[in-house]
Amino acid sequence: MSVRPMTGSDIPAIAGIERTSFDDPWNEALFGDELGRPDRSWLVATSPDGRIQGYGGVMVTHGDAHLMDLAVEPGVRGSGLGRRLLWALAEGSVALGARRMTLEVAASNAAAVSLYESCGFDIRGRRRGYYPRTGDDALLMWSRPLGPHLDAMRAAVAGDDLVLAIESSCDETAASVMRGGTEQLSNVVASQVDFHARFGGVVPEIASRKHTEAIAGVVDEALEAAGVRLSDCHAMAVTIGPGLVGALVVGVAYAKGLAYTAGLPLVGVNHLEGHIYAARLLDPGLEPPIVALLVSGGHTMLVHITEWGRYETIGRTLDDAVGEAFDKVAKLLGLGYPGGPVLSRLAVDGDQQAIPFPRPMLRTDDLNVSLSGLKTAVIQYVEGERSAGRALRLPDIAASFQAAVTDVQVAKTVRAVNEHGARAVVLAGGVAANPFLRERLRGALDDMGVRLSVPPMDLCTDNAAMIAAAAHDAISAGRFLGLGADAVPNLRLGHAV
Amino acid sequence: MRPFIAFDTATDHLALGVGDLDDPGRLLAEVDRPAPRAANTVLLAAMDTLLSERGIEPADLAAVACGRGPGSFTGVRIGVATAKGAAHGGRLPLVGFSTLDAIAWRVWLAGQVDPGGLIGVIGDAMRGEVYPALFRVTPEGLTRHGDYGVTSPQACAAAWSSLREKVVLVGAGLAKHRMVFEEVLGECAVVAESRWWTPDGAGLVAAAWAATGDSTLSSVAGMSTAEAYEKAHPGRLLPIYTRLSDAEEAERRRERSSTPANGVAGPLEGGPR
Repeated sequence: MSVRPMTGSDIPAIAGIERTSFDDPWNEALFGDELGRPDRSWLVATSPDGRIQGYGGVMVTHGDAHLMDLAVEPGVRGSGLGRRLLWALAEGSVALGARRMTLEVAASNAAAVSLYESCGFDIRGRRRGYYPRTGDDALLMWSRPLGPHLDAMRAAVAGDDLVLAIESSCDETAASVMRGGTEQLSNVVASQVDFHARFGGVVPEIASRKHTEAIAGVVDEALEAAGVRLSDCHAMAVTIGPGLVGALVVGVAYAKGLAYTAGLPLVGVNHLEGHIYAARLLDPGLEPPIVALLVSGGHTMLVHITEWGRYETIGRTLDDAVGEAFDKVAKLLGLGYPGGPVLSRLAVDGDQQAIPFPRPMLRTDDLNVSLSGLKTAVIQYVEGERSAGRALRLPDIAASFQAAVTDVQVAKTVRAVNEHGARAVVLAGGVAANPFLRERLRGALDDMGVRLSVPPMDLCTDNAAMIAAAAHDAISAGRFLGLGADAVPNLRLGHAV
Repeated sequence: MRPFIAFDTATDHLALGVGDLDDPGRLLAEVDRPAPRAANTVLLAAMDTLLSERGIEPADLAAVACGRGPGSFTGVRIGVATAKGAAHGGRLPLVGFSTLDAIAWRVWLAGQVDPGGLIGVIGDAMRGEVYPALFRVTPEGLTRHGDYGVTSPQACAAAWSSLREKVVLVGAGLAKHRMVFEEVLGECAVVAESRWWTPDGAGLVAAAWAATGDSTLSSVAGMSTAEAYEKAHPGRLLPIYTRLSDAEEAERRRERSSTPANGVAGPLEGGPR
């Protein structure tokens, strides 16, 4: 697709798209009147064979660009063409002296509202019954300052964008500065694990409080460690979901406040996508089709990545997440919190075949897993041993439990690779730090000639470098947050941020 | 003129005011409106609209002031986190004030209570409890009696009735507990019209100027912005919760230990033992 200025000969094709797009379309004469006016910028987007696929126009007055029209032909909607056109119009508006852009859009036009919101526009008002033909309300929307957004996009396309990212979805307050989506200049994590440990799990209210206390200091440290100032950064990124709502809200509110006064564009990142990008940081040659196994305290899922940014969840846990199961078993054995690292260490000295724990759903005809039956089996075994007066052989329990969990995860991942013809597997999430799982998965995939990509240990657990990495592509594409953005605690992978 | 922004999201009511660091008596702009459970989506857009209507750019700001509660935990954090970010992003000093003080200042500015009189602010603490704060009106301003806390409406009303004076009552807690106060205080209860129960921009700006503590608006007003930023760094501001988390409260009950008198969560509160 290419974008060029509109000419008179484009008008018939444009008027055709206009009629298919709006209840109250402009006619050819109106388009003709617009051409050649000094305070206007009209652009068309064309396919490689020169066919017009979209168009838009702005009028600039008193430093504000008014978006007068923007339409994309029905067959190519949702392809990113509208976004590219909008930012091209923004570029033209800035050249005409505009700082911000404003527009009216029909409240019922959900696709258009969503496009503008994803470019960082905010709804600032509603005009009731604005469109006389339909009686529909108009939403009045405003962009954030255009210049910094265009600068960030140019820097990202050139691979030289400096991004400050913040992550606060659970119990780690993290900030990172990254250049070009791959060069990690700093990665600071303030863990709250000690504050939660005595409660045997993350207490959401404590997490929210600790994020509020720590966030400014963590950001200062990330900037200092990177040797950059905030004014050097092109953009900011923040995790908006999924996660604990109260924890996410602190990061999002803080990031929006910072972006507002620093005049920086802000990008929202899906935490799960961040985990996938963590693998890319180590393994830049990684290319779809990929199967990702995401395993953490809050998530356990298999994802098919058909291309970067396009995700299909093909399997998930029906009950507990893997990390959660480790925590519960550790708690049962009085080993404290978090359970993963302590069980993993104990298992090294244990016999993984000592106790025949079940492998739930190992042979089911799908890619889902279940961990509650295995957890119950561990509880019953422990209770049986205790009531028989036998001492618990903790290393054997840990090793046998870990092997049961791992067997199912590996089997389902191998099945997913075969079903989807993936050439590579990404193992991501906090549980990806488990050496036994890494080793088993690597062994199984080596036999199949499939590449395994696992982030380094410090990028497996929650961190902000992975959020900065994921933000880079969003900036290149011009996907930004507005000032009204909020946390999305149940955000699904692949859903628009 | 050195404009500063003050805002509060601790209640279901969003309030913003713009003051002038060079003139404590000046209010440049204000807006307030109901925003139940919507603070994170409306705060910054409201701020941007308010500032741009006055021709003020974010880069023109000289300080940020924000309500610390007590109020809804999440609401307070939205305000405090946004304030920390805004102050950090502009390298601006950040100062705090109590939401309850801001409501009392609103009443004071409106001349609703004569000097010598009492203003009782009753914040809604949910769970059948209130966040009370009692103020004595003077010609110059307000004097608060006691620290912030959380209690039952009955205990609060009993304490205030022991003063045997008229108390002008305001605050969102009245929506649920008005009858308790009217019963216990009898003729001493003067319930103000509900429009005075919420914070407004003028009250926020006045409360910001009147706040006491380590880094106050008054103490940073005479400094350069860079000096003031170091003095009132955004990393230092904490919300006023008055309650610990449920998990910690339960643990304290188990251990039969007491909650700290001020209930302010500090960096060491809830740490490893």
